[in-house]
Amino acid sequence: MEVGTRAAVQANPLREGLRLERTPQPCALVIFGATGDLTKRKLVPAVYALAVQGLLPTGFTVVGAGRTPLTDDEFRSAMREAVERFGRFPVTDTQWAAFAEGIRYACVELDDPQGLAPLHTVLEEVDLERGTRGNRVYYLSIPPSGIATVTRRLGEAGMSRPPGPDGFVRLIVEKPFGRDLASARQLNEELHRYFDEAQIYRIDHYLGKETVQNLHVFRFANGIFEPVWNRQYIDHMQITVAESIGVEGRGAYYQESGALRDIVQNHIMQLVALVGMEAPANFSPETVRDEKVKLLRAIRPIHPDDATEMTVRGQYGPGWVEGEHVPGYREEPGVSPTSLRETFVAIKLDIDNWRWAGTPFYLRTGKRLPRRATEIAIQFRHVPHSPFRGQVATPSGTPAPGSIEPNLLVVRIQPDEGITLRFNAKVPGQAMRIRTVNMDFLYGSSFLTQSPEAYERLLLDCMLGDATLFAREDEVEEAWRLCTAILDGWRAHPPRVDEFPNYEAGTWGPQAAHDLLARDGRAWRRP
Amino acid sequence: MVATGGGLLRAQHVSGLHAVTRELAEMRASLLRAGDEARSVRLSVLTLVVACADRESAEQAAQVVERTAASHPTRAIVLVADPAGEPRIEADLSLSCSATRGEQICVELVRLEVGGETALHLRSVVSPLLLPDVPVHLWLAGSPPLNQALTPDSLELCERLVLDSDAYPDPAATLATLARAVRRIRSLPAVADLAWSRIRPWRELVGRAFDTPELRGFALGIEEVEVRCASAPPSAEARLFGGWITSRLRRAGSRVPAVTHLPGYGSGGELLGVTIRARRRDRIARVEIGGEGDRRTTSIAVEGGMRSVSSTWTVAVERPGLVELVGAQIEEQGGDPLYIAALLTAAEDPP
Repeated sequence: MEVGTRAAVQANPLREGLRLERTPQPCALVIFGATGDLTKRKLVPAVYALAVQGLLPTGFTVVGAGRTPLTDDEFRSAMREAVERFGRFPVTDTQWAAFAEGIRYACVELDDPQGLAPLHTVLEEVDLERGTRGNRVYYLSIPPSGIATVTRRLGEAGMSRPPGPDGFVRLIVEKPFGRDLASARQLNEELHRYFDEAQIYRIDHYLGKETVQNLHVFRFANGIFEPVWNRQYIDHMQITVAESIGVEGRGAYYQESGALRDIVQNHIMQLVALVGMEAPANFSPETVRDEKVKLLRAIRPIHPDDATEMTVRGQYGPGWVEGEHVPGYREEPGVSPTSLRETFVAIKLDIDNWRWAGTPFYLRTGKRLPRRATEIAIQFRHVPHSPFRGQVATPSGTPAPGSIEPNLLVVRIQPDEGITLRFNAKVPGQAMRIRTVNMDFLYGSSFLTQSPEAYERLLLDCMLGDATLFAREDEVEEAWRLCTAILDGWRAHPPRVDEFPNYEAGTWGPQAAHDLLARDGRAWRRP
Repeated sequence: MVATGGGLLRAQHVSGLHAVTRELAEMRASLLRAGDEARSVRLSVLTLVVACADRESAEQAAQVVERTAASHPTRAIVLVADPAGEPRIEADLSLSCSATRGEQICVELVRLEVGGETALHLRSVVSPLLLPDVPVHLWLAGSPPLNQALTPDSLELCERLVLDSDAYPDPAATLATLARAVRRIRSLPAVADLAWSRIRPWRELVGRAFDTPELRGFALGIEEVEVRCASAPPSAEARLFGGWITSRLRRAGSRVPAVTHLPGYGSGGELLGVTIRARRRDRIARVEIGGEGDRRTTSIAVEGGMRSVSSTWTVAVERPGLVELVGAQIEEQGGDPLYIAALLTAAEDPP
């Protein structure tokens, strides 16, 4: 049972007004995949940052679990190195000493039914020595194939049940949550054999980003945007998640996933939900997620036969990106020279509800695009009539001399987090010349404090039992329903081997992606 | 105006208010002209008016402003008023920029000395120098007379009043003056007291201790609070701490604890330790927080009932310097109702 903030303050009035109105209960964070990259780069640096800011409960303990046999001290020194390299706070001896007391390691063997016994022993010691009282957060930082095994082992060992009515056992699962609707459902079923939905936290680190959270604030804490946030005023939306990097040695993994599974199903669908959802009545986890699911359900399903019409697949060939020559996807290590895997996707979505009917959402993501940029662009409708002689209102985004361009609101998620509003202004001079100008809000310059890393926020929320920024079962399944139909359509109509690569590295994707918008009289903007 | 390189523009001994505003505008314009497309120039997000008791505190305040500026682009007006001196308005101006993350963060520092009768009408001097639309914070650096600062004339200027109630020689009288102002002046801006900011870590530690499973439910049964601070009579920090605990418990509807102040050895008026006794049915809990340097140790012990429990933990706590304290205040907006409650309680019952 989770205690609400108000109730917590009533029980302890000395908590009110402090940074966190609730301190998480003492608990152990068990990281499966403790010697992996994510643990080093993100998880332990995030936990250390929380410790430095005094946001962790007393007795909090990190227990690394992995196949590699390590002593506690070996694991500690590896983690210190990781925090020094990847952390956002400098490591001091005093602070590290206090933090390191709460780091343990257990060697586990998942193929063996008794393989979690060493972990069980360490956790019992931790409960006794550090007062964690059986409270656990299991973080599964392991390949998807291992998730079912770990949850089964935890369940069979009786480690998935909360220690009592006040205690908790929670499970954080990393993406990908399956590779299509059927496997996502199967994964959810497997998780539910041993864990309740309320115990499961599906992490999508995009949701922990400050600018993504700011979307809620921007939409629902400002009176001037919501009245125009609908089909009456918005012509269309463009959501872009562009990466300049290639597959970075993950060729074999990417060969199995592709851009649709890797980015669209999770990150982009979350952005679609956040930008399109109705205002939630409050900011509680279920209310927010109910609204997101409602939006996802309103997306018009793409029939597999229409998939080639409504979507565009692309794959990059060699080219120049950020001043360097780079190989094509088929030349990357671990990738077949005849691979048909997509590294670029563009999709047109229609949303069938009162707010969005007739206002399409165009989505695109790709690797080896000219620059790294995640942005949501809200393209408003053009003015109904231009009173200025020689200045015509253009339908959308195709600037021409003597045209009045529609307004544009861009929410930049990364990098240079911020918001830009484009509007028209008179060019100084005798003639009536009109030009667009930008009004910029840069997140980093209005708030010069460092933003917390997404993982810090998400780990803390999980310890506090707040699932608002985590994906719920039905969210994941709704997103998969759409993506699976597209995958089915693609499978039925595969591209010819010589159709790929169809875009040069360092360009904004294949011609077909431009045609997708041009058909509707629109154009992609350049992020 | 002299460009001294390294993103610094400077003008010294500018005499008269017109000359000051003209020079400031010229500095801004030349900066914007020099700015290139790649680097956006970031100018001030607030005006900080610093009222100083004397030149020495003005010097110190200017240093603090320069150091906080890296993260808080500000126009700062550091003001020394001398009504008994020669009639004059003289200013040293500087506009310095530093580059961070592809942006230039700029701070405009106006060091203003006002003498003669004009020094009694500072609002007229400061108003033309305020940036449009952005908030104004008034910082009383050192200990300029509180009664002068708490006049409608200066309070109308600002949205936020930053001061340090421990900077004044008589903390009890200072808190009483502030409490009176809170009660009587309807348009009083938000008050940010650095003494209150300094006890924040102590509030965190106490709040957190009563969140532990061992002490759940004991917060509403607090009976006695002992506060040790490094001065006698007790400092504003110690009084505000006592006021805070009392006001929170009173608001929660539980009985008012007995607060005792004890002197200890240390510098300034800093808090040295806190001992709290609480009762829940037949069980008695004792919480002791103390420590030295940057380490604070919390010990809790619960006796009576079925079994006794005790535990101890230590955390690292840094005592923030003036730069951090002022920097944090500049970032905030609005007042803290918890502070007002603590202040009113501390002032009504002086130990």
